[in-house]
Amino acid sequence: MSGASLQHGCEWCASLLEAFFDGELSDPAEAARVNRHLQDCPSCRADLDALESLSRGLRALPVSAAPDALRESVRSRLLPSGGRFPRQEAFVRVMNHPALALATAVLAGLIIGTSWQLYAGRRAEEALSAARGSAVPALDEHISLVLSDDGSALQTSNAAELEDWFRQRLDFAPPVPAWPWAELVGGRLSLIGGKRAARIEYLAGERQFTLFVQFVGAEVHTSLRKCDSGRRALITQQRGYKAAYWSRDGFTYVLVAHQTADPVFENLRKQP
Amino acid sequence: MKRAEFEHVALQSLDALLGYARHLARNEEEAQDLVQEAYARVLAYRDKVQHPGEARPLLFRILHNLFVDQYRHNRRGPVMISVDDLQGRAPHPSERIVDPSTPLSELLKNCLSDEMQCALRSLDEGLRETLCLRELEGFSYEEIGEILEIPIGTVRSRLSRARREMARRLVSILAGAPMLQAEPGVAPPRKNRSL
Repeated sequence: MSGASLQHGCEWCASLLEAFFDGELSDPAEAARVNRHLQDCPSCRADLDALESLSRGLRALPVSAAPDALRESVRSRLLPSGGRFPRQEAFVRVMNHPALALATAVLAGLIIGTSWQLYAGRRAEEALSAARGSAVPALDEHISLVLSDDGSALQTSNAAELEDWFRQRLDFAPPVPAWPWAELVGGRLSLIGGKRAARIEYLAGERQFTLFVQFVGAEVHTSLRKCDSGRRALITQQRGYKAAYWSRDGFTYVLVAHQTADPVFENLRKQP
Repeated sequence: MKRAEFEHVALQSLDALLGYARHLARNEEEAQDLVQEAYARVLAYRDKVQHPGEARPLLFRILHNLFVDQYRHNRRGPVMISVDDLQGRAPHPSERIVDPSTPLSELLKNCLSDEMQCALRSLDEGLRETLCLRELEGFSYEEIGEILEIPIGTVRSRLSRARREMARRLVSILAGAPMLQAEPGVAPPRKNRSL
């Protein structure tokens, strides 16, 4: 593609490029062939860039969260008793029953604790939901720039929460590894080789490192160099950074850190 | 799938579902009505959902069907937004100089969200829906096929056409050319028979 249009450079590549970009090429050999071709063909590379730009532009469209009134209305449709969660409902029943008054007093501490958990849970859910509306376009705007961006889309130390967050945004559910020697900081969406990836940020002491997770299934993802399945991380080094990469259960993992972050790689070697 | 889990996933999909509805509907009120109705109807399928991952596509399928019903009822053409509407919100398109040799990726770097929105709204419904499901919601080809009840090959060709059309319209908008009519020949959206 040489001008301002979306016309593919090579005919054979044209039929595969969009599926490649969308991560929908089922034949690993075809994916590898397209990937190789993209290294050598500026025209098709420009097509891929155009697809990425268009995708980024679309994802950067402003998204506003659902109004509170609509949220409450939907909540009341989904949840029994006007939107109360089941545990809340039980709490109300207990408080309204005279015979349970004494027991309520005895159990007040426990109930208050439970109520606080419910309140905090709902607040967290609402905050997460509201954040999604404004965060997604901003995230996606940075998709092609993530390697130079040090922010996190979802800052959390909770691996389950981050997994859930990724699951809502990706067409795969990336596992978020937890290592005793590292602290989870957060995650964001990313693109590697035209395929969506989960980018997970960690801290090990004062060292920051990043883990990219992609779902490849049986596909050989040549841009990441497929490695021996699940046995040991292979380590490579270039341009001042080190990367350890491995695959497991259809996912490819690439851990990237500054080349001086040897303790990270040492820990990874001990506890992969 | 547990009821609480279903409700949690369904509630978490609210913003995305409303965003999708906004891309289909003519106005905010219509979009919110579609969403309300989708949630009212999804309850009937709650017991059939086995895995959390099924709840989200189900909501989109239901909303798609509601939209199709509405589309058939109204028999309306694609929503058109005049380039003139962008005046005051964005630099006048005629102030831009679009070099036809400029790569699209370079052009799009300067594209404003108003212009992107304008091009998207001008697409035929079938193309717009498919593009939104892929690019904004991240559904796979297979999931899009199930939501819209079309074969994967059709998903693929629609996406390709949608992207080409988007590029063509964005270039027109950036160059200050009159808004192009929606590309003819795309069948009106169909309803899922299974819902």
